[in-house]
Amino acid sequence: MLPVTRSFLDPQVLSRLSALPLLARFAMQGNISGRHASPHRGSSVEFAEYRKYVPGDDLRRLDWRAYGRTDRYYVKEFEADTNLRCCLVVDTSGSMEFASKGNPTKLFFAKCLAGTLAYLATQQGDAVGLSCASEKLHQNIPPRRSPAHLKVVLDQLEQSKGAGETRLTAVLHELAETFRQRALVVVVSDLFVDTAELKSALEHLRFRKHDVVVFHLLDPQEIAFDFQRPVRFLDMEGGLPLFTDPTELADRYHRALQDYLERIRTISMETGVDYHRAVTNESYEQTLTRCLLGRTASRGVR
Amino acid sequence: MNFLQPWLLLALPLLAIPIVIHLIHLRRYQSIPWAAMQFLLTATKMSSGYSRLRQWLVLALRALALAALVFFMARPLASGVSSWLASDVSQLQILVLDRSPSMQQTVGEQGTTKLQAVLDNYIKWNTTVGTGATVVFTSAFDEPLEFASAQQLLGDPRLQGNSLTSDLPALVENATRYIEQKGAARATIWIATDRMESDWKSQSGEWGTIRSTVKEGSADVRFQVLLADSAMQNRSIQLEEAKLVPTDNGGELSLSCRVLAPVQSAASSSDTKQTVPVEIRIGEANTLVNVEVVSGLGELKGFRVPVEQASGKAAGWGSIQLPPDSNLADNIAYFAFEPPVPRKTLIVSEDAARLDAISLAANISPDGSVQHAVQTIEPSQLSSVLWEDVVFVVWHGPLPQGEDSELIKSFVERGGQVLFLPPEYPTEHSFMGLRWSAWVQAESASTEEIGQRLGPWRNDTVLLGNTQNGSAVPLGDILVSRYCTMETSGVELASLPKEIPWLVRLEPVSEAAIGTAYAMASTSQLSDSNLATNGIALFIMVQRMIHEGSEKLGRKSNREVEGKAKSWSEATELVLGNEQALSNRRFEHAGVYREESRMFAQNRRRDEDSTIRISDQDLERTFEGLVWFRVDASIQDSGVVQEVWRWFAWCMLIALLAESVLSLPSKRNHTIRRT
Repeated sequence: MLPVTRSFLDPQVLSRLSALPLLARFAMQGNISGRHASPHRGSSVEFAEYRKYVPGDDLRRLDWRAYGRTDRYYVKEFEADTNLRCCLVVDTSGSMEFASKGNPTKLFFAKCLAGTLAYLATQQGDAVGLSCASEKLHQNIPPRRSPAHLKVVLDQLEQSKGAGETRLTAVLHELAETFRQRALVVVVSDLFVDTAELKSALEHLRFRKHDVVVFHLLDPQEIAFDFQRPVRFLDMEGGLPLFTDPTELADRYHRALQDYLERIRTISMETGVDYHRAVTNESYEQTLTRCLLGRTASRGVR
Repeated sequence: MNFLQPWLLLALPLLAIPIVIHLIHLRRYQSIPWAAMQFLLTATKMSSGYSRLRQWLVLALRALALAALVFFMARPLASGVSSWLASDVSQLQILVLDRSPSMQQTVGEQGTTKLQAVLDNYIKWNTTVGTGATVVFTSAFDEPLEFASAQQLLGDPRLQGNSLTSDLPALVENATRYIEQKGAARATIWIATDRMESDWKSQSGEWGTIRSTVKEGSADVRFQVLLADSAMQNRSIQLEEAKLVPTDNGGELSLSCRVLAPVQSAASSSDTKQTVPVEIRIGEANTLVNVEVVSGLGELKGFRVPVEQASGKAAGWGSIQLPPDSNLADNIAYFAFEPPVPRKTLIVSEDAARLDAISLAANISPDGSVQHAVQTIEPSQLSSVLWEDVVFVVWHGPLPQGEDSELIKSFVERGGQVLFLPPEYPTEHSFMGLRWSAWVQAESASTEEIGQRLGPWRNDTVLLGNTQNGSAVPLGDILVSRYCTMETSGVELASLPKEIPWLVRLEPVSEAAIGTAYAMASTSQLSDSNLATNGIALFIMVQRMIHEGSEKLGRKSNREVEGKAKSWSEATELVLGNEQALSNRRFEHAGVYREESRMFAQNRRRDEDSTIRISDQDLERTFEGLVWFRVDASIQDSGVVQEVWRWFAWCMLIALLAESVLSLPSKRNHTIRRT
């Protein structure tokens, strides 16, 4: 395994999380044998079904005991386990660079999540790819399962910086069209996008039978909004600045935030994505543990 | 509005401070890179509503608090309560002024008296507000005193302290009546006084009348009670008695007096003794006597001072005086003395022999120093009588007619006592509601007794009241064998069985009459009753009528100040007393006076030396249901103004409180769900 020297990777966290498998909630279509359920029959030890023999089937797979009991030819089939393609979508827009005092930036938090997941996926033989979704930085690394490829992904993560407007929804649509086989799509973003467009993108992914995980990142100050003095807010994604007295605006801000969070929650339920909200003053390990444990309980059906 | 320190109003531009701070606050913004712009943009599009209103309210309240602070420090003179009272300067300002001796106590070391303090307070208020005219009601003036401006009150000799006890309820009642007469829509009655219960008479029913009058009246009447108080030590002296006692060497003056020195604090024990020097002045000679005061009270009983004159002609005057203290008005008491005037009884009868017993009873003097005399005349000689010494008239005969009736009525009006006895042959005439009818022989109740036993009788009257030790007048021993029936509208004092009137107090001659006339159905003749043989009751009745007559006819050398100008002769001269008093207002001042050849002294009432004060509860009860304010007058500052400060202080406090409540951050829920 590669030596871990990235700032966003903590060996102890990786060590602890290695005990938890990264599982898909649905059957995946991989290239090789792996830990994930496949829609096809294969050669695993898990019995699937009996099928009538048809000419051309390998005689070695005939179940002679069934022939002895029934005088008919049956072929015994087993479930196939396969690997998955994990595509990490990290929002690298300008808003992801926001951090309140004493807390990491949302992008750093996203790197921690994505890097750790990439490591875990690679370690269990899954292919890992990376997409950076912003106007100014649009990188797309296709999934590969080699450990050398993990270095490429981590390097890309390390180099990425938040800038410009987000292209999250466009990237998600693109991915939905790009992957012909089922994949695990992990979205790490602050989701400051139009909720209708986000819903459309997520529905697109689900339509293509991808398993979608969304990590919604929020900074504590974005939730509290407890400024005491007038503030000139500079849009980190390049919009016009806004001058206002937060004490006067706070109530309405909180109303707008609550409405937005409620909409996101509704969308996640309607589209069936695995939604996790994370505040950047918390430990990313907790967020990942919560996610991985949740997926273990709902291991994918075939 | 006026201010004691108006230059502080220059600080009013400080009101702009909250606004300036607000503007500076807006300028001191910080620039922050912000990610969640979409929420900010959504929030700015929402209705600002209450939050913007709250911001302006907070700003206004801060400015208001500053304004209240500036006004508070500038010490407004005519604001608050006083301003409301004076908001309509055309309203009637009435000052009920207490000038009693207790008001002449000093309230500070500068010698300002309570009277001056309340007047200064009122004048300062009035001058500042500019209400102008003031109507003053005070003791010894039947009519109100009108002043065009409050400044005229200052130094007006009519408003100097006197020796009368103020009857505040009567004065306030006069004031309310005056308001009604004037038809004023709004009026303020200032009651400038101290807390003496003797002036307030808080238990008097007149306050109830005043309350109902004000409530039912059309005028909007408000009361402003201007109270003066003093914590300074005060002693007072009261004359008990000053009488001439004849001796072998001529005569001696017997003096009795009381020194009151209220114990100031509870710490000083009740048996604290102190010696108070009392200066006795008789004519031009002075004597100093030390009186020991125990538990706040010292007495001088029967102190004898030789008078160097012949016994029969000895007469004089003088004073007893304490060393100066906080109140000079109650440090002196005046007295006059003269040989006792004989008390003459006039028996008017056609048959005087029948009234020997009455003549004998009237001739006996119970006091060796007072001579009693009896003159017997026939009705026709009435016009020749010298009425000067007569205190009691016994009328036995047909009821007086014509000039005689006028003489008798005049005598009763002045205070004389008259006893009518039935004539042998009653006539149809009536006098003072009395008409004699016919003689009736009384039936004996038993064979052992001749005549009817008298009873019942009223023992709550002056004539038939119990003696000092509580014993009843022995009227039950009187047997009436013959009586004359009478038709009268008077008050029955004693009667025979079957409710036959025997002794009647006749109806008054007029409202101003202070004397009394009685009618008795039997004479003292043996054929009528045993009044003569069982003479105790007769003696008591006759002596009481003589005493009452002498008291009411004003033959006393020492009396209390009455404050009635009518009974004061213009020829009365001041011998000793307040020389600064107006010559026509001397009747209201204590002193020694000479009326023609006779000397008399008058002093303040004893109530004035009482330490009983009206409590706050009684004060509130007195004005219950009325609009009234209390102001404590002091010399250092105007009490009227002090009340005003509080309103601004409260205003500031409320503004700051409201501002802090509005500035409280609203409770927010920052927790969010993770999924």
